[in-house]
Amino acid sequence: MCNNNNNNSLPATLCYGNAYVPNQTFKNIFSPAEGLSNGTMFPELVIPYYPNQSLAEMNYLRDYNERGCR
Amino acid sequence: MEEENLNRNELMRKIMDYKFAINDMALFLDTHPCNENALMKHNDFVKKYQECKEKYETAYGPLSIDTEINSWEKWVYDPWPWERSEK
Repeated sequence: MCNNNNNNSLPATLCYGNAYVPNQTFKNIFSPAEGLSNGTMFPELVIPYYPNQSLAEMNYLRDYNERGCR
Repeated sequence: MEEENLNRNELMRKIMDYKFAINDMALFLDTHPCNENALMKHNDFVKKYQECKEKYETAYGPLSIDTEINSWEKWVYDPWPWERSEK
């Protein structure tokens, strides 16, 4: 029933006009209390957004986030 | 068990924590149904959630209507969610 087709890569040919989401891999998760206060159980998904965010802040967050995402 | 000596608010906080964790694990599992580790975590949180909920309901009355209710007065006159504490 469960065919473990763990294909984490995006298709080789990306079409214009389509949005793609990289497949998330399961790693460490927060404790439930930390999760609730962060809005997610997954540290790599903590991506705070503030209007008029400064470049310095964005760089800080990019460095802080292990995936290198803003 | 770590939830042994929690007061009412602490117990309620645990229930909210576990409920959130359960829901977020469910979101992950919806797109990763074969992930055993995530499933294990999910079931672990469900177990702890149920323990806390049962403990709370035994001591302070039902949290939801799908629980066996011994005293309907307890259900009716318990503080509403927007009433932060008992009078």
